[in-house]
Amino acid sequence: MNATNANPEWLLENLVSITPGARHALVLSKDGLKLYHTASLSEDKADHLAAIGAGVQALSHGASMEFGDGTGGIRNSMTEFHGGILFIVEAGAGAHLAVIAAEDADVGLVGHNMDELVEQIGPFLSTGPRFAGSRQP
Amino acid sequence: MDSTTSELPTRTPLRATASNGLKIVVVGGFGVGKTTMVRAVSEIRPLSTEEVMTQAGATVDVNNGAYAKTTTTVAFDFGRISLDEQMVLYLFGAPGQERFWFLWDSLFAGTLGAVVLVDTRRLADSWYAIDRLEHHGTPFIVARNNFEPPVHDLSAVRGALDLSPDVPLIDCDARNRDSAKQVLITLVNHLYALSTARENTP
Repeated sequence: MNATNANPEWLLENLVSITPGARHALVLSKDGLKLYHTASLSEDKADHLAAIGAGVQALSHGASMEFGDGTGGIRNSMTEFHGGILFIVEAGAGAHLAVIAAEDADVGLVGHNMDELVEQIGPFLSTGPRFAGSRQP
Repeated sequence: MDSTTSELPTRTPLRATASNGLKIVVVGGFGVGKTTMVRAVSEIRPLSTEEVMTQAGATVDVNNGAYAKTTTTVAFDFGRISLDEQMVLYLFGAPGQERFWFLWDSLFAGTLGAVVLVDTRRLADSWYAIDRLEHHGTPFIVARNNFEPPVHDLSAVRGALDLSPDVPLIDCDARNRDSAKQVLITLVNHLYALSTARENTP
């Protein structure tokens, strides 16, 4: 794959189509705004999922700080709710990749495909800080 | 503007005598100083869900006036402070932006009272908070956060917010531990006065 020509929206559509049970995919900025998403999500749903994803990851970071090795690093978050599963992994700098899948989806496969996408094109799924010199609090 | 807290709070363990836990929320508009306030008063390491503001938000999160703001809360802040031997406040700081408002109703569950932080440069940002609190029937006080010296007197602020006369309105500096603590004491006194008044009403 030629990553320099990568179209993030197309790659997200591809991720959903090759992953059984996956419904939606979205790349969000860490401060909770949508960057790219599949056409299956309306703009309103994408906005909502972006805010949720940022909140979940930020709380997981808090769990890692308090109960992990103290670096605050997170790998992924998974939430199983009635009617679906939400997966979130870190993507490029300042961004996360979120996927909504059906309740009976193969979580190992969804996670694997998400990791693979991030490995391939992580640097493209990113957004920079607004102010030069902003640092992680 | 410097948004760091005036002193590092000591990390004290919860006292064995603590018997009254009160859940308090700190609400208000984007960039008004809610995270700063929870950090200033918390006696434990505050849970902070701050993220660097990204370019994606340049047209969405417009922080008129809050020039030095580079991070923003994306879930909620959590801190704890003991007011005396028995009374412990559990503080939840809500996220300010509209896209996180869906979290507010769950944060408000079980809340005894709220602090509405306002910034007079962006007073309209606090209307939503006051509206939600009135909707939930949650008692609250309003604290004007002065990152810079204030230019209006408090009665003008009261008028602009259309606050009822029985809602306390005070000045504070959210960066300063004593000042932020004074805000919480004012809230607790207000809650106490409300409950006493209720008991005395047949």
